Amino acid sequence: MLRWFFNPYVQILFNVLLVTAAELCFKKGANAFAPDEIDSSALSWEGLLSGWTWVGIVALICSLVSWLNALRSVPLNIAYSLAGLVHVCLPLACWIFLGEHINAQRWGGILFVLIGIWIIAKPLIRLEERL
Amino acid sequence: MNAISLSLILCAELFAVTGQILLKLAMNQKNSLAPRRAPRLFFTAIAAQTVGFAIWIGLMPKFNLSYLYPFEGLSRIMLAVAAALFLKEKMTPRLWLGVLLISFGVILVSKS
Repeated sequence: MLRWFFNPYVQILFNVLLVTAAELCFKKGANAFAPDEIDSSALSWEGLLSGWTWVGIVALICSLVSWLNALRSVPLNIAYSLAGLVHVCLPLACWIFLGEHINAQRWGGILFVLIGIWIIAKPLIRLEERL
Repeated sequence: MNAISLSLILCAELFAVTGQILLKLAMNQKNSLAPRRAPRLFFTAIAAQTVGFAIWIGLMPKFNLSYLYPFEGLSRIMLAVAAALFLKEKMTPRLWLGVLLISFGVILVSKS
C-alpha cells in the first residue's frame, strides 16, 4: 500500500521537503535567541537550546535516510540535480512562513532552477509512466 | 579574497563531492564491489562530508554568505563531471543543459 512512497523519485521529493523544513527550523531556533542581531564574527551555539533546532536536526537525519533510499537506484547526477528543487522550495518557504522578501533576481534564479529540473525530469516522467 | 581562501573553498567542495560519490558507491543496488565494503564506503563518505562541512563553517565568518553560496552552483557542475568520470554515469547533452541551468539559477538565487 505504501509502495508509492518508496519510489526513489518520491523519496527525492520527500528529501527536498525535509531539508526545507530543517532549514526553516534552524532559522527559527537561531532567531529565538538572537533576534535581528547580526554577529558574523563568532559562531553562536545558543540556538541548540531551542526545541526548533532539535526538530531541524531530526528532519535532517530523516532527509539523509530518504537520500540514501533514492541513491539505491537513481544515478547520482540525476538525483543531485532533482534535489536542486530545494533552491526553489526554500526561498518560497521563507517567503510564506518567515515573511522574507524575494527580489526580482531571486525570482529569476528560481525560474532557471525550475527550467533545469524540468529539462532533466521530463524524460524520466515518460519513462516512469511506461513502467 | 586570496588564493588560499579560494583553494579552501574548492577543497570543501571537493570533499563534499567525494562524499556524494562514495555514498552512491555504498548504496548502489547494482554494486559490482563486494557488499561487505559498503559499510566502510558509507562511513568514509560521511567523514568526507563532515570535513567539507567543517571547512565550510570555518570559512563562513570570513566571507559574506552572498560570496560563499554561489560556489554551491559550481559544486553541481563538479559533481556531474565526477559522476561521469568515476561512476561512469551516462551524461547526455540534455542532462548537461539541465545541470548548467540549475547551477546558474542557484548562483542567481544566492547572489541576490
